[in-house]
Amino acid sequence: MDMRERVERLTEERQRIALGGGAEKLEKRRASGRLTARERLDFLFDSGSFTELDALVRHRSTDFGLDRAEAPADGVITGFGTVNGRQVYAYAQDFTVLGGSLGEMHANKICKVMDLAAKAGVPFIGINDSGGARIQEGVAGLNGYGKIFFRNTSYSGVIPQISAIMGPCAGGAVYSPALTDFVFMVDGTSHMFITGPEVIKTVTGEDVSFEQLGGAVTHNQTSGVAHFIAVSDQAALEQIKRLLSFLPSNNLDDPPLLPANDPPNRREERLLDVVPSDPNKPYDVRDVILAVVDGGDFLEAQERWATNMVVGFARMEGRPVGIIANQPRVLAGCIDINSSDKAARFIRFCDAFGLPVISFVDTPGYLPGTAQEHGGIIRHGAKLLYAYSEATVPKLTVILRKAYGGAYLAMCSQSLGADLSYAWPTAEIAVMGPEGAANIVFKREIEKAEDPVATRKSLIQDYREKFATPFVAASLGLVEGVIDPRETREVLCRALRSLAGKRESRPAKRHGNFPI
Amino acid sequence: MKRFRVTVNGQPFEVTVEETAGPGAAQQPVRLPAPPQPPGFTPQVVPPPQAAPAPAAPPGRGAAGQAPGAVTAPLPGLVVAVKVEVGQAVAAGQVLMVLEAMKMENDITAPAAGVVKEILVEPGTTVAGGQALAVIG
Repeated sequence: MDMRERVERLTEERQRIALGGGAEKLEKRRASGRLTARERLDFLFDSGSFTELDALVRHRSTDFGLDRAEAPADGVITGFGTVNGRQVYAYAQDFTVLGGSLGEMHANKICKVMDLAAKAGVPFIGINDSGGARIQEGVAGLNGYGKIFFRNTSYSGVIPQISAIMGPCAGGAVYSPALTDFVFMVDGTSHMFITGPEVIKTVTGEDVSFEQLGGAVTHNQTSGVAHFIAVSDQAALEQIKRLLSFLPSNNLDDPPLLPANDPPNRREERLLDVVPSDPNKPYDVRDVILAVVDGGDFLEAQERWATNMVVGFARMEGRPVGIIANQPRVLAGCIDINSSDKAARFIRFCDAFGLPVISFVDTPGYLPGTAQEHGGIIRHGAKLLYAYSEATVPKLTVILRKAYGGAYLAMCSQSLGADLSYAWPTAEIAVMGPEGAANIVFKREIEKAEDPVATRKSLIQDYREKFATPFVAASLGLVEGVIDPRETREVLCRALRSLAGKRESRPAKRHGNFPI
Repeated sequence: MKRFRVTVNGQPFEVTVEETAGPGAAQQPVRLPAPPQPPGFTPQVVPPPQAAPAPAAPPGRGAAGQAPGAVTAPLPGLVVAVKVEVGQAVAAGQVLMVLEAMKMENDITAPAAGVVKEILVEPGTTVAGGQALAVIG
């Protein structure tokens, strides 16, 4: 056989592998509005840049008829390429090949690209569409999951890891996405759960649909497992590309810098009217964020879950930053279990990848109630304190209105290591709200008064005027300045520039004991 | 700069596509089922000095796991105003009533468009967290 014949055979073999589970199955998937595994990778990567690895890998199991099973690429396509010009490693499970099931060699392929991504210091993206473990392969396949989890953990904080769920992802398979930094789900076609509706029905008698149990809406809105929801495979992949545009390739790299075409000294007149001066009136904190960041361009993560806290990515003078903000429109902006978890994880991501964090504060405190206390708000709230204290990236804080008690401390106060913090003139920085404080401080006076109601009211007013302001904190140097809201962008841009080379270290340790 | 080959009616065309801004700048607006907006939130976009993607939030479905049509109190508090009447048609996101809780006048909004079937509270009613306030059908 001469070279030409050999090359021809190789080409034929490649074409056969490229067809995955066969033309018919691929067509069926396209007809259902989904992309095939290869189409997903083609859509994700810059045109023609995807380079496949290990296409010829085969499983080596012979039990239960697997010796006769054709499994091109062993059901997962792995490789690398460029996304908007930047290197990325990825895999995409192919549901048309043995249901995308994960066996020993399938897992080995995934582990190999994970290792390569970490060595190369580039982001890693996993596109999940799999029926689960390949049961016929027994513990060899199961072991594969463990190897993936180990790498997800090992490379956490080294390279950004992103998971896209574009089909079923059940049982042990859910924990690889859970260990990655961001999870994207496609509405209507993706599901994640530990145990499915049938098992649940048998064990607990509950009737629940796939969608209710583990659909994209459920995980974006109720469980907080997912961070982004999209209407189609293509939309999810576009979102991933947008997310990548804010992220450095690894923990030692600088985040991608865009040309700064929004003037840093842009004054925003409307910031005079966003925050109502009546502390009882709600507003949307996103109006503040959009007015301050470059071009009003804000990528919000988990925008449906724990909505009393807003987190997301933006740029200041072209440099990516992480934004954390209380949302007074939801639960009055109180900090609760879920919002603590949401913000803490986001802060840790930003810190791991060198993104400065900017916090906008307007919170009356922690959410009261037995549900919160018994649910462990002490334990969960501690995560927020830990995450802010631990972070060594530049930390800026702007107190918009309420900043009371423990919640004031928790929202990146100076004492938790904010490098520079500012307050708007509407800020109320105090140990507690005027009503509560007056009741305690002036308890006797109110009791003794002829007209306790009127006395209480006037004492509350006194307290409010004296203490529910930014000026006591400013006089102690606890905020670096009280600023005109219109100048917020300029103040933050200058502050970020001044801290661009920030170096801060903590005592050497194996690792801290994060309050999980 | 990217090159694509597009085939129209069997005739191939070479197409060159040039990117005009950096990564992330030129994104397609993504249509999504609407997130449960904070009460009264209308997506507002700053006039962008550069092309910024508008967070599009077209109509979608309401919160999962709630009794159909029941609007519940997110916090324990005091109803200070009811802004709709039984029989009135309401749009998704329309303010139904105001609940004072945590020293904040929280807007309670319709999770989906419909008609107000029942109003279960009145100004002055103290409600528990999770208590049904109105039914929209």
